[in-house]
Amino acid sequence: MNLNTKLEERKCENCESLIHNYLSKCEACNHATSPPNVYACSSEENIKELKERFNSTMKEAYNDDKLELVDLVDKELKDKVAVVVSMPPIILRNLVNNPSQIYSNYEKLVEGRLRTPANPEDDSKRGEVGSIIFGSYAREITYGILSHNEEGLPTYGHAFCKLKDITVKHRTTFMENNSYKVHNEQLLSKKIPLGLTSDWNHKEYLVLNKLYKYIKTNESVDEILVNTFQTDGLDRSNDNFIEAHIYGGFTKNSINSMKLHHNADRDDRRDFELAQHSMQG
Amino acid sequence: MNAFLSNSTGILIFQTKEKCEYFDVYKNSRIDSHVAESRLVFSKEEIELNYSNEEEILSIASREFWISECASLIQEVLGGLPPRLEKNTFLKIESILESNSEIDDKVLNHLLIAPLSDEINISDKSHNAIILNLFSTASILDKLRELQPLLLRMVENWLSITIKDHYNLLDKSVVWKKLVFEMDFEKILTASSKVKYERLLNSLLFEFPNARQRILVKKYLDRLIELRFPDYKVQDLRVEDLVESEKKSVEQDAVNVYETIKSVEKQINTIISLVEQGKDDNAKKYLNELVEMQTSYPDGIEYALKSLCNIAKKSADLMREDFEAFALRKAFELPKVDQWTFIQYSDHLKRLGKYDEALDYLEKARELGEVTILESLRADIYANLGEYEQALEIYEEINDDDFVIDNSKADIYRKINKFDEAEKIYQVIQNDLEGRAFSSNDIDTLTRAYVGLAEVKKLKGDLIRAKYYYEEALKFEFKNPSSYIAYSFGYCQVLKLNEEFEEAYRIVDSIIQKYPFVEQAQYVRASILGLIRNEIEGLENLSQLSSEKSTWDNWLKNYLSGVLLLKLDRFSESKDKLIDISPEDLNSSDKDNTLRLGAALWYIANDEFDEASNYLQFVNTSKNRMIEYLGYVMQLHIAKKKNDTALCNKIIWEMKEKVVIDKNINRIIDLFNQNRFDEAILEEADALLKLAA
Repeated sequence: MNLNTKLEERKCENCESLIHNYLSKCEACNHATSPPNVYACSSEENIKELKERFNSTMKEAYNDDKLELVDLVDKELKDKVAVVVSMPPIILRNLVNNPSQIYSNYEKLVEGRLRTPANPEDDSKRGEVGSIIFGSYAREITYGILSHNEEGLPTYGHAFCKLKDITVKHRTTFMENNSYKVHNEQLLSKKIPLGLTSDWNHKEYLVLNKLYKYIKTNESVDEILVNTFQTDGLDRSNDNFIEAHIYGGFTKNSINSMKLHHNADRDDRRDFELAQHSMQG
Repeated sequence: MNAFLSNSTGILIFQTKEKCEYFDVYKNSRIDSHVAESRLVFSKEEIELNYSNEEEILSIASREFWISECASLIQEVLGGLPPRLEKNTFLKIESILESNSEIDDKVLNHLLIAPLSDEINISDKSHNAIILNLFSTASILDKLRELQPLLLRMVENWLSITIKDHYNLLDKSVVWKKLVFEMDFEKILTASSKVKYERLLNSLLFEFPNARQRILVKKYLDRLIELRFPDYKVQDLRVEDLVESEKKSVEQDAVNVYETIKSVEKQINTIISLVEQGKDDNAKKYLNELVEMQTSYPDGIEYALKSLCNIAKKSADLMREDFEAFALRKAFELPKVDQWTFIQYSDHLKRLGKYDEALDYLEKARELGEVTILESLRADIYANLGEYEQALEIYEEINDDDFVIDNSKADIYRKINKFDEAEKIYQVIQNDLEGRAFSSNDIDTLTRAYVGLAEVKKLKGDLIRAKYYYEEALKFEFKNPSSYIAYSFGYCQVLKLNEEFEEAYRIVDSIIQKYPFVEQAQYVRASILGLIRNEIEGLENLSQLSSEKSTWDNWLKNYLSGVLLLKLDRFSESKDKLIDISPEDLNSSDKDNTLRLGAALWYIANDEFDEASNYLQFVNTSKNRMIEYLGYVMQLHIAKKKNDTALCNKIIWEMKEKVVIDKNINRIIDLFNQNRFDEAILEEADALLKLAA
């Protein structure tokens, strides 16, 4: 079920050597190329399928007399959506206090540090799902969501960091559901079905494909956008969102804005304010 | 077995025989692998820990995390924060230091990794911590400040050392970190003799199991000793010797100041211990000696003030307001008084019910600068004066995300009978802290919210739940005995209202055994003795209290004596105690309304109904439900005695709207209906005993 299965190897723009589809630079000349997740999601066949799904959504909208509303939602989305990463405020505080601190993926950090657990059932779910979807570069992926309101999933922490587009757009891809859901639903498939992922430039297609079922003619655009992601703030299995996969980590300088969840406790509020203070300084 | 702790996220991963376990040390909760992994996001900051069982690893990890977190928060404060955020951060630091025993030295070591910038004014930060009564935090900051010259010298020496490491055996920074974090670095810095310095430094060698590394480290250490004590090796350079000797003398001064701080800490603890035992003469003698010693140094007045305020605070914590007053008066004898002394004295006067004087001293403190605590104290004084709207207005203006302020606001809502608003705030605090209150600040906040809820339930007439919340509050171990004692008195009042006199007596008696010098406990016991028809013993108890020592204006002593005498029909003696001030000269505080009720009852007992009504007309405006209801009962008493049926009906009608808190009060009305007025007087007196103490 790997994103990159069956993709052809690329040729390096600099030296024309073959670059394996899970690499982000040429091994022969070290010339950088697009990250493997972006390579996979922007493949012609994936984008074609994504657009076909989008076209059928538009046809449905035409038949349901919702085309105008869909158009309005689309315009709003272009202005508002961004990648948001949720984390506990103490982590945010430590991230912004040290400009060289990089927020990155767990697997990269513990690689080789902990012995494999005795019971495979206790193995890391995220590691497991990540490696199935991304293969050997799973440890390079940082997870976020696509959000319309600068908020993220409180189930992962009460501080939400909206990342600057410029720092992530060339290395981020999106998946219509979270990787666990996709993994569980597509267990028997060897590859993630085409059209369920997108690169940065086609993310609105993905959102509208997902959002359409929530579009009701008597609702405002803002009310519709609320469905971009859903969470009860308590149980992760109830989270419904478009998952963002950022190749590599990010630093304090990647952050555009920060928000705190309304249910944050006193310690979280203080840590968040310290982070805010540090950002302003 | 090995475990893996991320100090900046608080995530701990460790393996048991069966599986991997994940723990969030920061929130003190077990978490699943998914959440743990999503939070392990920083590289190269994790530490490996060795352990033999789960309990051990949780304890080791928790200690390591809080040391690092505490140092990190102190650095945040030193970097400069807005006042409100600085205060909240200070509170957290203090709570970490209190709930993790003996981590102070380790936290200090973390802060000694490098000298602080000259621009950071550590003294100001320490002063701010003291203003908030956060003495553990202030102590670390003071030590940090005192150690800066020594640290700077050490770092200069360290940086000047160059040892060739041909085999790349060891990074120099690793040796430095081990030296600072693993050794008793504070002692190394302050070691004044060459032998001690050498011994302490050489213990670092044990941290390096590799023999070749040890040889290299020894070279670094020898050079350090050489630089600090030039006679460690024969030196040819005489000029350098002179410079060294000069620097050494500066260092020696710093060491002396540092040692003085330690000695003062010990002296203060001795004084407080004597105060606790009631050995006031010795305590006063030592206090005078301490002040004399401190003021003999240049700039010593500042230190003497700090010591006196510290002693005053600790005395107040023991409910020894008399010794608190002594220490504060001593502070005012010094040639210069700082803002905190004014604030502390104002707070002291407030607790004694001397509100006007308290406001005067508050203004004196304000002349020396604006700090948030001035406003919260002002609000508190107004609340005590019964001027709740004004108090609430001030609290709203403070706009501080602080549970202490929230509790104060809720207390006012409770006092003005806006119970839903009060309960909502208390419950937010309860939800936030229940199961998570480990530090004394958090315990104080949570228990205060429990007590607030208990009082709300009491005022709603739900004594069962009131008892429950008091019991929840009293389950905690209090660092500050004054809270425990005050809440026990509140609990006793609920027990008295529920006619559980024996249990109330047992509790107050245990407090007297433990804290024999707590004046209020004697009052509570006297009131219970009166309730169990043992008025004579109650009076004897009260008469044994020294008037000279009392800081309470004697009002409660007089009042309770007056009520007990009234119950014994000793009217003329009782009059002296109960009728002191005319009703117009009293304010709207609960204390003054209680005084009015006492005077009114005396006049009723002597059939002087017009005088009694005169006092009662003010009571009707009280926001305190117990006072208000008892006021109605006494008015009904007068109306019954006057056979004024219309007035009786009117009062009864109005009383129907009110909640009955004192279970015994309906019995009084039955006695009125049976014209058994003499017995009713006794019951009304009992109601006053329950109300006052």
